[in-house]
Amino acid sequence: MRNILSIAAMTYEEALRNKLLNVLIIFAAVAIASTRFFVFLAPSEELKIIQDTSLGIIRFIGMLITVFVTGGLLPREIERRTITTVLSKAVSRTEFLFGKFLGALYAIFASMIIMSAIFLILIYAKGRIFNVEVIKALILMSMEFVVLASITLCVSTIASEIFNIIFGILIFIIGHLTNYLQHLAEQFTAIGMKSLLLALYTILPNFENFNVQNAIVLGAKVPLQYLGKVISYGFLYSVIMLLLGYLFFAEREI
Amino acid sequence: MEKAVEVRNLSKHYRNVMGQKVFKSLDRVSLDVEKGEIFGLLGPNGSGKTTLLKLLLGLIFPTSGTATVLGKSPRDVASKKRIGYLPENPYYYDFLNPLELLNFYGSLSGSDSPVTKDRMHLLLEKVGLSGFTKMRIRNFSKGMLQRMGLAISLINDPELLLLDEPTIGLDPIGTVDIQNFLLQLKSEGKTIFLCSHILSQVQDSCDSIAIIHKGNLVRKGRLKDLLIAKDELSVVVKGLNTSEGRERLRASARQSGYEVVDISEKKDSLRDLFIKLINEEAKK
Repeated sequence: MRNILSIAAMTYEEALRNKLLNVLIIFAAVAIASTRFFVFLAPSEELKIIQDTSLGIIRFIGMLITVFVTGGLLPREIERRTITTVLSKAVSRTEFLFGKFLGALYAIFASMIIMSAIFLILIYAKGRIFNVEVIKALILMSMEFVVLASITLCVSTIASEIFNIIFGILIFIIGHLTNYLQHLAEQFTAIGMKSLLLALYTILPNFENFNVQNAIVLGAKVPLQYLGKVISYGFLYSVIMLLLGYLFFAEREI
Repeated sequence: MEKAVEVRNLSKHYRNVMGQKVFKSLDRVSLDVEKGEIFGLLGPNGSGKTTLLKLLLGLIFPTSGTATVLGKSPRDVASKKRIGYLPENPYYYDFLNPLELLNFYGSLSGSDSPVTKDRMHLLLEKVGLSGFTKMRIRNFSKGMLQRMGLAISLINDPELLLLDEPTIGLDPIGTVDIQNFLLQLKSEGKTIFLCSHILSQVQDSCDSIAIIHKGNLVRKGRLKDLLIAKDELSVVVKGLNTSEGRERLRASARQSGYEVVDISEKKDSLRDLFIKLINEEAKK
């Protein structure tokens, strides 16, 4: 455990020094703060616009932070050869991989906390309300990024940094369209095509599960049971991705 | 007695995507390293030295053959507590300073207790970096990085050191310092396996050597057995300046049944001259 935590702390420290990460957070902060100036579009819907736009900004920037932080985790270590100095110590490949993943999560969660804090302060300043449903939406979004991070890390055990980043962004987009695969499967009668589409629907991540933005903005409540189910789904999916990543990494020559 | 390193018919072949063998990095290499000795693996660039080191560390995997390090498989993680490694052209997390770096690698060394500040300072002093504890690694010169790498390899007080080109990037004085340091480590009972293409360094430090070329083991054995011409001696004579003197020496040897093979002026090596002059300048 000590090895995992040491590697995680190092990964987090390194991520904090990443100029791109800092620029993305600053951009998100400025963008969220400036949503209050969009209210001229619909003055009576001020709070809804701020919530909707801000959640969208946090989702977009959070996705970029996730893929940029995790996409380069292993390729950069291999390219710089720092990985040889770490693995030459009493550190297993499992500990190394999980340590890197944990460190990346620290950085992603830290970014989410900063963006969420600015957002919550803004809606409190505007509406003098503290909306628990918004907190649930942010928790689900964070879990979405955990899943995305696990997928990007899994791919990074065998691919280059550029490929991982592009793949991560694509899988994020596809993950939000997965529900269409299920609808599409219903349109087909051929068993082969139907099975293929359903298999893809099952295997690919369903990021729409984590997206309660529209419901929140319309004033709906997120049941705790739903929250529990989606978080469990995210946890299970991440564990599978990490195990797969470990299988690739265990036999990877450094 | 258990050997520090045992390699038997170790091969590493690289294949293309079609599975065809395209490059033989190592081919059926066998060697032993005794505990407590300094072993030199010599070879030109690209001969397979680093490949062998990586196989011993479990960073890459053999095509065939076996290797054990301190009696264990290279994949055994626990045995790495007893091993220290210095890669060629080491690179470390450059936003840290030496103490932070040693603390990080010390935390990975498998020890039950954290590395003490005293130990870190002692190591930095031994490698000549005690005056640079606050400097970020990114500002280090190549030679300083090499010294830092040596300190990191020693943080867990290993029994076996695997060093890949340990004096690369160092000036002649630094090279001598490191060589003396390695001899001191040997006197403490440590086993050192070093890879080098610098022949003089290996000759001055090593007990045994192996020579490798294009992945094949060309020669191995105790250094003095390999280098000493069995029936020849080198004798240094003072005051023999004339050709008549040289002839008298040859005649005298012939009378005793010996043959003088070569008479030539004794020369200092350029390295010795360099070190002598620098030290003299430093004293002024």
